[in-house]
Amino acid sequence: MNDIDFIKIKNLTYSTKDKELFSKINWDLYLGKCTMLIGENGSGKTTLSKIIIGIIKDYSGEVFLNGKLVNNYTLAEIGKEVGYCFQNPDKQIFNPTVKDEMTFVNRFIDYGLTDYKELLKQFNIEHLSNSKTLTLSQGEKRRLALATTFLLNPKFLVLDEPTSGLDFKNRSQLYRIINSLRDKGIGFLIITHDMDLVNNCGDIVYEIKDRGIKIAKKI
Amino acid sequence: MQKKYDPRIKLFIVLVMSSLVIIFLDIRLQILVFFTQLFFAIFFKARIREMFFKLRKFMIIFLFLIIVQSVFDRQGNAIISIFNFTLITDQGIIRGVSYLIRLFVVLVSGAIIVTSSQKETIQGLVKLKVPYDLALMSSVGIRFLPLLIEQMQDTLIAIQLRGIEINSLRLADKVKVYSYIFAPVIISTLEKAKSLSLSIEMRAFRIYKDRTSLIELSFSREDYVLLFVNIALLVIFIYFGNII
Repeated sequence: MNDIDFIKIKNLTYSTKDKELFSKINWDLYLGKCTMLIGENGSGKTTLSKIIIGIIKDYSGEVFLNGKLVNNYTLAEIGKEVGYCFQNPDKQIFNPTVKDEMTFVNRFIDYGLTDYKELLKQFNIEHLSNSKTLTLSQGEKRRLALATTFLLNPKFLVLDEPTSGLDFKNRSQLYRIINSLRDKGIGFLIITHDMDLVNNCGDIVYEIKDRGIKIAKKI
Repeated sequence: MQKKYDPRIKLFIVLVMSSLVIIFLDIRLQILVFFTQLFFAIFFKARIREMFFKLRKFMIIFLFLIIVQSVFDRQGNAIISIFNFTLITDQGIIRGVSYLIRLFVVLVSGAIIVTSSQKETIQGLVKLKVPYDLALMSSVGIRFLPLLIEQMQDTLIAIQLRGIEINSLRLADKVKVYSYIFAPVIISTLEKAKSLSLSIEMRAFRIYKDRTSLIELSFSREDYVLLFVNIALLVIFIYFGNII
């Protein structure tokens, strides 16, 4: 299968108040590939993912999503193309019950959603369907947040430390889901420190170092 | 280097301006108080622009608050009526705007106070004879304000990333979407408060009755000038308050 560059970054430079995080980064991310991003704490992994999905806009350079500048999309349009899983699952869970969380979108828009019951089953939380989100453990919240990310059938998924808080069984299940979706042509950018995840799902591993991005490992 | 003003001066200014904006019922005076406090905020190099920039996304909530306030005010001339029922009056709108100004004064107060470090603010409150426990609680509360705004923004982003175009929703749906922002904010605040209290207890908080501090606060000449200006403003405002 030919690689399709879904996300293209050209000459990206970004600085925070204290330091320059990225200097003239050029990077392509493909559909049907699982790209892993590693790097030291504070190196800018999460910031880069936020730039890619259009949350951070004050950078110099260009970021293209499906051939169009990412800043020309609204967040809702990006959400239909790219699923994003926050580092902290609490940030994306805002409904009283698990079922409400999964059916939230239906209340506002008519959109072809994946069957939420099937997703709950895939992430081993179908028994929690009527549970209150407040009472979920961190691992359960993580699985719920991941399930909501897969809900809109995105073409590309950005997952920020998806395995943190997951036990061995649920991690293995997540690897299976990622690999099966990747085989169906969905692209992934996964930010992680989990080398087990890298070895099980990664096609190519990049590292943020010295304000740039370098290939750390090609699998 | 920027001149460091005594946190007690900032607390005094915030106390005076917040009290005045609550006491005054006349909107003209409230606006005057708001701009005076805005001036002090700029003077102390508070990050006002950043704060209002972050708040711009919540304008719809503020608009909703104005409408709700005005719906429950039956005085004044009708602006919008449905059949025989007066929905919005001019007095109601004024009341709504007045409520909003009070809210902004509180937010600017937070921005002024955080220009001093948390330790300085606590020490300032202690010097003003506020019990240490209360001083710590108020200071931590103020510190949490920007974090709450950040939490609200993140939830709003998460909602939009679920494919919901908020701007194109009907007003009723818009209000409904915004109502979802508050649940995670309240929950995370309670969780943070719980873990913070546990962590404080673990560090043997209040094990000794008397506390010492590394920070010694003293009034400089500039602080006295600011105190004088603020007292003068207080007198002028009260004078005008009585005339109007």
